[in-house]
Amino acid sequence: MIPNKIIFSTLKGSLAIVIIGAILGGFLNLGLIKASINGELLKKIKDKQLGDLKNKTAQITFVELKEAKRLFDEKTTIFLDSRSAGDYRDSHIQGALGLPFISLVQDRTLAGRIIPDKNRLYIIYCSGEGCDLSVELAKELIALDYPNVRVLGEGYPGWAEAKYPVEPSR
Amino acid sequence: MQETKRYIFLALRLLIGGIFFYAGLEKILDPFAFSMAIYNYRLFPDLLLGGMAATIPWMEAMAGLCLLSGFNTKGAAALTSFLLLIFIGLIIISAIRGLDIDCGCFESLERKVGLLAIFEDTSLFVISMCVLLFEKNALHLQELINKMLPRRIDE
Repeated sequence: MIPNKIIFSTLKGSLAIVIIGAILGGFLNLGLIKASINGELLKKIKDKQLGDLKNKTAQITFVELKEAKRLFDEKTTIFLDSRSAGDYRDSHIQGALGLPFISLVQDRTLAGRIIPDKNRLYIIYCSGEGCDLSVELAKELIALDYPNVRVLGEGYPGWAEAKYPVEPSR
Repeated sequence: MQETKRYIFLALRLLIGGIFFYAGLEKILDPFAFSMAIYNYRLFPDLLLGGMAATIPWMEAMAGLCLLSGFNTKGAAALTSFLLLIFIGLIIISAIRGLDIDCGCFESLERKVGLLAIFEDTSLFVISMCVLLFEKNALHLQELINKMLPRRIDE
């Protein structure tokens, strides 16, 4: 049994590190904390991640959110959800087809069954800027001779945040 | 035997201290990158991203420094154990949610959330707990230096 005195002094030692660390870190990063509170940090993170995603995959064409919505309204484009089946069931862009990247890797004939028309325009999305499932799925589809493939970098979160149609509706 | 044990605990303490000091220092130098890593977990309110990215690395680095120097080792080991427990929990939750993200453990090392990251952090947690519970007889750096100095002079 550890004596209470030792437990107390250990906790005091931990707390001292936490407090000094919080004061030092907070004081030296006031700008970062302010940016976080006023939303600038989140925007900067999303921009950086989207930029990184685009740079990483030069051969993939991205589509802007507004352009994706215009194509959605024209009803000529098919949206593909590359996230897991569970995420798709939970909520997805209205009318989108679920084609999880993992499932396609396991069974490459899945593409032909879900999207038989290779000449349609397909817009692929996943969980946003930090997610590369959409890019990986786009690469797979290009390799399977689907020439018209685009990626929506903002993904489902960006689409939902813009209050564009999703289903089940929220 | 007792002496060997002391060296083993010293090595464990320096290992966990070095890892935490290095991990914290990297994040202190690039808090924005760490805020991105926190954001990727999609578990924390956006408002807290900056505060967490600003303060957690300092706590890590200071705990690491304490363990390296032998000052407030119990407090530091308790904190590293607690932090590792949280990290393991976060990685497990993210793996279950199917997130394909970097764990953000080190800025310079890409390590995805998954079994390997869970295994590594669990190993570190065990080491940290060993330091916390059994370290009382371990050598401190100053003691080790004092021990080594006369030998060098003899040589």
